Amino acid sequence: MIDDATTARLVSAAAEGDEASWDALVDAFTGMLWAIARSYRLDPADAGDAVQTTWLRLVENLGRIEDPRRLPGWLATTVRRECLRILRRSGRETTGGQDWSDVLVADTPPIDAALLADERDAALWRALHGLGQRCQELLRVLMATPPPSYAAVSAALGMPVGSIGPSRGRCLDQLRRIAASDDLLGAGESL
Amino acid sequence: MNPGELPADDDAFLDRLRAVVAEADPVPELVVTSARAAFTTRRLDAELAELVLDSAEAHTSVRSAGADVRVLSFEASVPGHGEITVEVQVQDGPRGHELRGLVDGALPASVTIEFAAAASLVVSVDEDGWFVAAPIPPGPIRLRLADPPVVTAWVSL
Repeated sequence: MIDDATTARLVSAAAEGDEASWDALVDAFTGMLWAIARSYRLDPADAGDAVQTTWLRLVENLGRIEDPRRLPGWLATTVRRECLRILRRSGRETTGGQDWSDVLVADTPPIDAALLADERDAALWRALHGLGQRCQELLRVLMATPPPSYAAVSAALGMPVGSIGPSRGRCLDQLRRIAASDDLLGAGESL
Repeated sequence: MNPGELPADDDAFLDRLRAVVAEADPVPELVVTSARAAFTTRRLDAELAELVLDSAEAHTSVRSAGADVRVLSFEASVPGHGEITVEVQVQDGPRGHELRGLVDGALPASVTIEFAAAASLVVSVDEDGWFVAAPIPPGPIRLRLADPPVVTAWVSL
């Protein structure tokens, strides 16, 4: 993952018109943006729209970024807002004030699980969708390729750096419990 | 799944999950190439009209005003020209979105609807500032006025 100084250099070079610097920003942060969009349970087409709109917004604001250290947070906020707009428009919204983590918990296993030949990997992928939105978002962002720095995760998710480790531990424990119950319910049909 | 099979160590567990996600849900190549191509949409000379209202984001009281109509409002402050606003109503039609818009503060002959994939559509503006465009496919768009040069923020329809 690129550090703050590199991000700052790339942002100012891109604002001056340097395409290679722009590409480097895209390569550094698209994985994180995709992870966030997919944690909102958008399908790949909608997630792609949300990510693309986020990058288009960054292009139009390139010359106005005063503190490039805040870029990961700005990108994450922008893609999250796009995701919520898409969810509202498609009728998957809630009436105001509700906690998204309650609403977006998986009710159906994702189709993508079929892509995983390894039954245990498929069970893990299913289990991941059983987590609440906050845990899914945190773990998906931590799992992004390339893995974002804790500073970027902190900025993106609005979470102090010191609480990322403990939160990660709690979410992984939840995931272990969900994965364990997969077998009890017979849904895993492990051989 | 037997929990004993899962790595007890958080770092190892996360690595395992990273491999699963990389296989089940990688970033599509099109998403990366579109993000790179976004750079070509840099606004070099036109004034930006900011999105000041999006009913898809506003609270329920505003949204309930029109059943299935999304209202977007853009505002630009153009030096030597003053405020220019563009209001757009978006409705779902049989073959895509239908746009009905009103330009205020300027009277251009046409409005260009730009799509992220370098395509665009020019529609004429009537004497009262109204324009209509349909069908518009889903995805990000922005609107461009030639004189004075103004371009709106991107919105995803």
